Amino acid sequence: MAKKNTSFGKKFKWGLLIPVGITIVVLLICYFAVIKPVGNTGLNHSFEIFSIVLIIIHLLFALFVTSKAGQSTGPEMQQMMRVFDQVSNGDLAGAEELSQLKIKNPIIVKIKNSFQTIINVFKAVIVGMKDESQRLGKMSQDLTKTTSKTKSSVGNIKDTMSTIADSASSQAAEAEQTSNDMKELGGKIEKIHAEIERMNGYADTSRQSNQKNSKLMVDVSQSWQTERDNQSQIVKEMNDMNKNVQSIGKIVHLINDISEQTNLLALNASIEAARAGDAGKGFAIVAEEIRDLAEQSGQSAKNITEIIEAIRHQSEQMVTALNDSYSSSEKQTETLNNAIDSSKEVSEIVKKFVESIETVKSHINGISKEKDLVAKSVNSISHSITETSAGTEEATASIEELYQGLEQFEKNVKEISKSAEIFKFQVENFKI
Amino acid sequence: MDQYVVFKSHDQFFALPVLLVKRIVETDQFISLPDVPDFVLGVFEHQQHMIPIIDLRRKLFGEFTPTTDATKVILCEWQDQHLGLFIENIVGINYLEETNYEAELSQADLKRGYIGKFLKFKDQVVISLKLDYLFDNNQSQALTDSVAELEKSKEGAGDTPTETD
Repeated sequence: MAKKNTSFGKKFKWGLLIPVGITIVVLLICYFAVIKPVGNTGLNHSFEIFSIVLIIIHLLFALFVTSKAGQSTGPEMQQMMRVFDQVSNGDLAGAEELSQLKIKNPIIVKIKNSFQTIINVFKAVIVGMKDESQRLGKMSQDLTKTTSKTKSSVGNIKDTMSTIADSASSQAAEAEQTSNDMKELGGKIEKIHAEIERMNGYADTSRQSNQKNSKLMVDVSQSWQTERDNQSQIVKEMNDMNKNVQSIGKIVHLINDISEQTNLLALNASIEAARAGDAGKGFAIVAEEIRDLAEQSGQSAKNITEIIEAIRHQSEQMVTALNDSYSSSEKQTETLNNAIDSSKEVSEIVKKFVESIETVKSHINGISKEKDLVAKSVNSISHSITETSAGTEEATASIEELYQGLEQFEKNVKEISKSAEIFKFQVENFKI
Repeated sequence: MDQYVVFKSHDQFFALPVLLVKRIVETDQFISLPDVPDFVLGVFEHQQHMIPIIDLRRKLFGEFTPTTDATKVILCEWQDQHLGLFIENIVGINYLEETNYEAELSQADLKRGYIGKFLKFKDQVVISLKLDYLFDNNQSQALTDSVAELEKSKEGAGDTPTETD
């Protein structure tokens, strides 16, 4: 009995009770919507009976239909179920047997036909899936290869980026060094500038000193000129004095002549006196005295002549010395003039020197300005290089991330590949 | 003690008795004569006489007297003969003492013809010239003749009255 109930339970299609439920719901709606609002108890009672009868009849009909269907499709259903089992085991070829089955029940025939149609559709799907699985396998292989290539490329890029980063950091260091060098150079240029300023000052002082020197030398030259005029005046006066001395000499010579003549006269007077004998004795004494006087004056004239000769000699020496002095003063004047000319030349040279220094100064100013620009440029280069370095580091980090992502991707691709293998295997389990 | 004119020639003192000396003149301008010994410098015109001038140094010592401011000509007169002596310098007119030196020289046979006497002038020894030697010189005979000729021609040309010797 229990076994029978179980089989019935199995056989019973609980879905047949759904129309019964629907009928109950409709009856309840009718009752609450139509009968109850009327409020007629007789009608309520009649409707209750009608409802119960209708539900029972419906239930019975349902039970009947179920039992009837189970009895009529028994052996055919079993065959069908076998085919279904085959199909469920993946042997779609077993579905071919269905066409050989002779089934009388039109419902089952319909079911069989529908099932065959479904199987055919499913076969087509499986065939498509096989193709797709092959393509998927191939694609997964390609993807694996591509991924591995990409990985190696990214590895290369990573290395390159590392090299670039190294270069960038060394460039940054060099730029830093250059910047420092530029600062040092700038300091040196500033020092040169200061030195040139000092040189300019020195040159200016030198020019002023030289001007003073020139002026002093001109003064000396003028005094020297006066001195020379005085000297030539002295020489002239000395010459005049010489002439006067010579005149004196002539006069003295004349005096000497006179004294000699007097002497001669006295001698002759003495002779005459001697010849006169005793009478001439007094005259002889006078003549002797005259002779003494003449000799004295002659002696004096000689002395004067000697003195004049000495004076003349000395004055000649003086004139010679003065002439020498005059000619050497001429030479000195020439030397002085040369010195003045040289001083002028020095002035000119110093002037040119000052001009050159001015030019150098302006150049140095330009260099100083350009140095600032260059320092600025070097700084910006250094800055750019630092930025580049930072960017390179970021890029390296990104590439690292990309590399890690790629590794993950490779793993995933491997999994996909594995899945594709499984998929292929599963699809190939179907026998068509 | 006689009075002498003392003079120098060849650095030697000589003397002439003052009564023989007519005049002392200062000149070296003489009229040259041809064909005479070289110690005859020429003739000098003095008081209407042409007086031959002898370079004493040349005659006695063989050297010419150099002309200076001091050179003088002593004009002498002895036994109506005139002669001029060209000498270096007049020292003066002095009284001189006589000595006996010439006798010693004669004994030694060193006395020369021109030395008359040796005289003493202060501390110096003065030679008194022997007038015979000066005036009786045979060598000057031609000179005397030519002087005489010269005087005659001068008388004719100048037309002046002259004394004959």
